[in-house]
Amino acid sequence: MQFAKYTVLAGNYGSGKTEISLNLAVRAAKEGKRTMLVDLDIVNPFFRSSEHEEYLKSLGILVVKPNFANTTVDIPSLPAEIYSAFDRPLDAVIFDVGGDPVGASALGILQDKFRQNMAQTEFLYVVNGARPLQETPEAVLEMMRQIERNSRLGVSAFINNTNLARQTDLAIIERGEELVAALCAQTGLPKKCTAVLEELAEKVQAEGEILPLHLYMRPAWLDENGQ
Amino acid sequence: MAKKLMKGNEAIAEAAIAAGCRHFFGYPITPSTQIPEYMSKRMPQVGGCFLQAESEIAAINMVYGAAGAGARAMTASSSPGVSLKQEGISYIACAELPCVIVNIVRSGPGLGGIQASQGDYFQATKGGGHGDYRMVVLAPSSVQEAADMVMDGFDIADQYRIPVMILGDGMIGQMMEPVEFKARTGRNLPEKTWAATGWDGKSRDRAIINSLYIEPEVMKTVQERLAERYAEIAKNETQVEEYRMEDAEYCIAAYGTTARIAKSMIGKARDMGIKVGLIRPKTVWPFPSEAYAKAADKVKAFLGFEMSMGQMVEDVRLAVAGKKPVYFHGTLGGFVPTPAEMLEELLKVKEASK
Repeated sequence: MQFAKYTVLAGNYGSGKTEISLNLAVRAAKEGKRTMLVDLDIVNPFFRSSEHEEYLKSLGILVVKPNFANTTVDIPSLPAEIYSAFDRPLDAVIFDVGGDPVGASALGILQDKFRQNMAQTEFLYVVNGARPLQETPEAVLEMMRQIERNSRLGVSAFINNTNLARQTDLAIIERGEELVAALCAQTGLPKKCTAVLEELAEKVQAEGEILPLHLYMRPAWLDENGQ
Repeated sequence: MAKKLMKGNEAIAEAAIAAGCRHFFGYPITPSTQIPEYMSKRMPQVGGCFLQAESEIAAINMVYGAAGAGARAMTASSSPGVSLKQEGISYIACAELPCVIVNIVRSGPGLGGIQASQGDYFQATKGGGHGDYRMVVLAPSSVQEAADMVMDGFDIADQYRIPVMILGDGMIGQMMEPVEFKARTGRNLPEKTWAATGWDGKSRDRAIINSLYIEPEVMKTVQERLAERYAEIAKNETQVEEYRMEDAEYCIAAYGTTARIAKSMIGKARDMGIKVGLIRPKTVWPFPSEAYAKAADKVKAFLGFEMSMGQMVEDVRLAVAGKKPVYFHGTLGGFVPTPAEMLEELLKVKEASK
């Protein structure tokens, strides 16, 4: 599956942007691409992609994150370094954006850069239909329009990432396929792919491409002992 | 309703709505902010009231007012915010008002940090506010349990006219897990004849919500009534989980997220042939002293794990009453212990118990 040089991942809290960002960055690096991951999340101080900075750096991935990320200082401040995404010699840059309209406003300062690189930019909207208040096309679209307004960017495609973490089964993914099909019909936008736990990737029947996901953010003890 | 993938904070808020709570008052603070955020979206959809108060102190007094009028009311905060609420909680306890207070604990003292902690155990279970009072304190270990405990918490509060606290650490508030809101058979609850809902002068006595008792005799009567009620709650409402304790030679004492991680460690230790189990208080007040006391006759040693310098371990020691050694390992700074870290401690205890 081909991704644009500049791939922006947005969506509501818990849609899976961060896991997908990590997977896309690792995948690009392993393909030998010069890769940068930009953790643009200024709204949620927990479970962020840059927590895995050491691992990412070991693969040669450049990591840019908000000032004070991964400290206990909860201040939404971005470093000037984010502009280097457009100046350095890179092949793949992944932007992991905060999960609400306020979080998406961090993209606004980069709008000129994205406009100048329109042909090389993809703005992917991640949908998890198993999240509360995000179960209908109307609810998803309302959130998406606010995120578009604040980021001053238009969504280019959807990713179906409907999941219940490790309790995900094929029926849940299928439910997400229906939701995303309705979103595509209402907006005229395409589906980019269906993201699926790597262990389910072989079994899932979905139209279009499958993005197998390795979960980096979830500690193993969370899903042991039949919890 | 189908399962949803929810953050602990969202599940707590939705559970309150499912339990019929239509009055939420709060002031946002990390790591509990998603509770007011979610309530601000959901309450208008169900005809309820979400109100962002000017402060934590205002919010808890709004809860006092709404509870006094017989409504199911809730507030939520994190450690420094819960400190601010203490005066109001003490008043609510004295006025015998039912309500649910959520504390998603972060590290302290002071403003501290925003990462997970279990450092508010003393505050939650030993007072916190002034005076001779108790709160029922429920300590969930998963997102599902957090939701279930909120619903039960409202029932317990109404049955005994007592404030109930949900004591969750930052992990419980922030992590996402599948949650199901099952139809439940609630308790047979008494009618709130004491609620100040307007007086017609004849059909009942005037309802007065008060926490000031000037005459010592009256104060004594109120305190005796509370003491009796607390004893009844201790008898009826103590909840504890015993995990792999049947043949255990070592007993882990932990609650909340830490207990969850301990279960993972226990699996690894059992694979190594170490007979270890866990006693997990689900109510940290009333504390399940009896479960620990019984285990003291069987195991070689106890080992407490907390994300604190050691708070619940004092209650474990009281229950064990010197019969067996009680060791402790605390994880500080807002860090969450790993199963490997816990296993290392268990091996030390095993060595010391030879």
